[in-house]
Amino acid sequence: MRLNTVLYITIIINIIFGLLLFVIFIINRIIRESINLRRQNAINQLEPLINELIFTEDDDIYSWNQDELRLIDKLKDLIRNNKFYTKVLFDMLLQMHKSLGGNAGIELKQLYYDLNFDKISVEKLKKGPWYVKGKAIIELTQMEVTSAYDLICRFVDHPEEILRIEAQIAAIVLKKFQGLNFLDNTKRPIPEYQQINLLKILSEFEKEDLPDFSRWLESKNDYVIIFAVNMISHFEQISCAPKLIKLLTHKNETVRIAAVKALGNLYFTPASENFIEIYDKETQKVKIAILNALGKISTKNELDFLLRQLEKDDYEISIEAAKSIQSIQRNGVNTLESIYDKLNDSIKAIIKHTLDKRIS
Amino acid sequence: MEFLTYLSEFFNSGIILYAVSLILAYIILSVLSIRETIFYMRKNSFADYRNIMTSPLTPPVSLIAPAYNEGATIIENIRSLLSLYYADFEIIIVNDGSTDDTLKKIIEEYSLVKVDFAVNEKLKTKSIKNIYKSTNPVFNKLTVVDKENGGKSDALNAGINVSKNDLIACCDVDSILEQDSLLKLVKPFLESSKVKTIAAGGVVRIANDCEIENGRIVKVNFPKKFFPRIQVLEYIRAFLLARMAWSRLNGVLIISGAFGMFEKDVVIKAGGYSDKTVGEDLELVVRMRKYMHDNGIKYRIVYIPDPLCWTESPTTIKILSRQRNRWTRGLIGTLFLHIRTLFNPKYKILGMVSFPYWLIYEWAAPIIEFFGILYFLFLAVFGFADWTFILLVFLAVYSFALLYSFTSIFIEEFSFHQYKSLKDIFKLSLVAFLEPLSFHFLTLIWAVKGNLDYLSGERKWGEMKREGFRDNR
Repeated sequence: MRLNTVLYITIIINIIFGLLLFVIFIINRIIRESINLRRQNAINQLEPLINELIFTEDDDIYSWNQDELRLIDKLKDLIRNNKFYTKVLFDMLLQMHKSLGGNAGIELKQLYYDLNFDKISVEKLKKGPWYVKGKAIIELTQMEVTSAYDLICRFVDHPEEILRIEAQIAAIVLKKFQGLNFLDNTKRPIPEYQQINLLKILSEFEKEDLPDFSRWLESKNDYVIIFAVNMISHFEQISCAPKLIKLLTHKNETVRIAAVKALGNLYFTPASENFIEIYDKETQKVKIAILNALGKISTKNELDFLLRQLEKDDYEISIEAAKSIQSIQRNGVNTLESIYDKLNDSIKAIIKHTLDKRIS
Repeated sequence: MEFLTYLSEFFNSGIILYAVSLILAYIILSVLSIRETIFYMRKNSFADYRNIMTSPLTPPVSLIAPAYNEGATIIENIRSLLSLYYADFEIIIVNDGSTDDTLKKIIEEYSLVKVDFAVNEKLKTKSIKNIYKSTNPVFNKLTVVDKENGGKSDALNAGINVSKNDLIACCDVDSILEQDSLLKLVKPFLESSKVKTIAAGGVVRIANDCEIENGRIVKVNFPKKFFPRIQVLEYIRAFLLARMAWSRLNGVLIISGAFGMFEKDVVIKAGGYSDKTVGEDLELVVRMRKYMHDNGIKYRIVYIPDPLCWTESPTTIKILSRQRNRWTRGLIGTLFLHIRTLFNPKYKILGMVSFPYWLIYEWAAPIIEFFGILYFLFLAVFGFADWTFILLVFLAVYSFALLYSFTSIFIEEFSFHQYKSLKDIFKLSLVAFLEPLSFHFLTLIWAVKGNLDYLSGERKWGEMKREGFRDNR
């Protein structure tokens, strides 16, 4: 093939694809505007019916009266054989349910069931790609479709991270702490983002009802251990503290750091001895975590140890030790001030830094 | 005569081969980018940033912003940074020896006093004169470092030394950050498990003529001036097409200096920002990547397509030429410093794909194109020109340039849809038609000049005078 022919073909292909993009672009804009218009029309018809249904004075919110049943029939007529209206009503119900609580929320949920929308969500969960399945899980969770629990549980260890997170959240929302059972067997990581989401859900429950997270401290999955340690720390499960001590010798540095931080947050004073015992063999990160934790739990007994660390020729160690000494009850500041003159300039600078409340 | 014919055939085939390979590379990047953007949009539709905002598990961040002679806007700039949504973060403004009233204004506005700050000098920098904190607890997030002038890299390194958190975000003080930008940028770090995220960047957009209130973009407008308009297109192409694709390949080589987040420990171990090149943002990422490879640690660098940062683009040829000249010198500097990375299998995608791409296409493309044009001019002047061939080459390259620009506008339309009015999209399309015929030739000249300046030893940053954002309050 001659060079010129190649160039001709290139130009033609470029023009065809360029025009194609342009046409898709314009069609998309037109379709988008037309859908918005149709959606607005649908909302205009559906919204008054829903408002009348949920905002009318009603003695029994768990069953519909004749007027309400008539309104529901009207809604059913509007969405019958009309996928677009069904979709709009489906989205509206979920949106309104998210923003409305109380009786209105209960009635919206009832309406969701009566219109068989739970079946739509289940169908999406069975057949859709991962992002549709994920949305379906959110819908079923929001509307508390407990019958879908077993189906949702199939995804708690799914390779697709988002699906896994949504399924785990759903499991907890639907079956409270029974939903945490996935922690028993999961081999997958639980990144911080997932922990943040799970913590958010767990925080919505009563503290007394929380499970004993120490049951997962011996898991073979280090991510599960870290999650359990973080939960013990956050929910202040002080009774689990002795079991955390064992983790101070765990092979995974991140686990050890989490355990040290948790023991500090729980103000578990007996841990200070263990901290000092493991300190010299530890990595820099664990050492810093230990010094920080000692600042929370230490008494005068650890002062000598902290003073030795203060004089180390290592900024991070030294400043963390200074902060810990400062926080030892009432004597910490006095101690730092009393030894100040005997120290070298770099340690003096660290002490000044530590004692300046505007900095820390 | 026969020799000239052979020479002509050789150049023709060479240029065509190069162009074809470049076009193929762009096509592959476009496809990857579209896939990555679609995946991101789907994945991100599940994100609830309020959880990150409120969680005690969210790591604290240190935001570092160097300032040099920013007296005209520094107060608003800091106010804007203070209003970012993030539970636990500190803002470190590094006054890099400004000769104007930058420091004085900050001290007065934010009631600053000198504090006895013990700096952990892990990275060597020019001497720090003083560190200031506010007496007003409302501004307790703010730390101001006053140091001797040492350039942007030096200022950033000083900020890193002063920072107290494990995650650092570096930004240009005069850029406007979206209020949820820290939340969005920290997410890739929170999502990492077995593979560590060491850096993340987001899309930088052009803010010229946008409506700004209280240091926030409240309405996105298409710029009125020609140069900023072209840069809108350039930025969309660069961020939505190229960098998203590299993110998918885990081959990102640059996190924009305008805004990026890094794991501090890796930055320090890699040696911090370098003052050996004016492309410090590019060079740091290359060095961080090499450090991870050298130490056998799995890592990733992530780009997210969300517009996180808005910057004022240069509006005059003079400033624009300085900026492009600097970008070229920064690129060559980095490539020369790390030339041993080239085709080094030890560095995997960095050595075998990213680095060669930047060398062959980002650095060499303007030079080859420049000499290609000279060559065609030579043929024309001496009557050897095959005008049909020249015209076909031109049309093939031009039509592809248009297609590439339209693809980026297309992705923008289907993802973040920043320019809602059809009028703006038509203006952007018009720019796509005009740019290869006008502005592109200027960028070629600036790139060649940048190369020559680098060879002659020019290493300065060059003054970047901006007009400053006008607050529409």
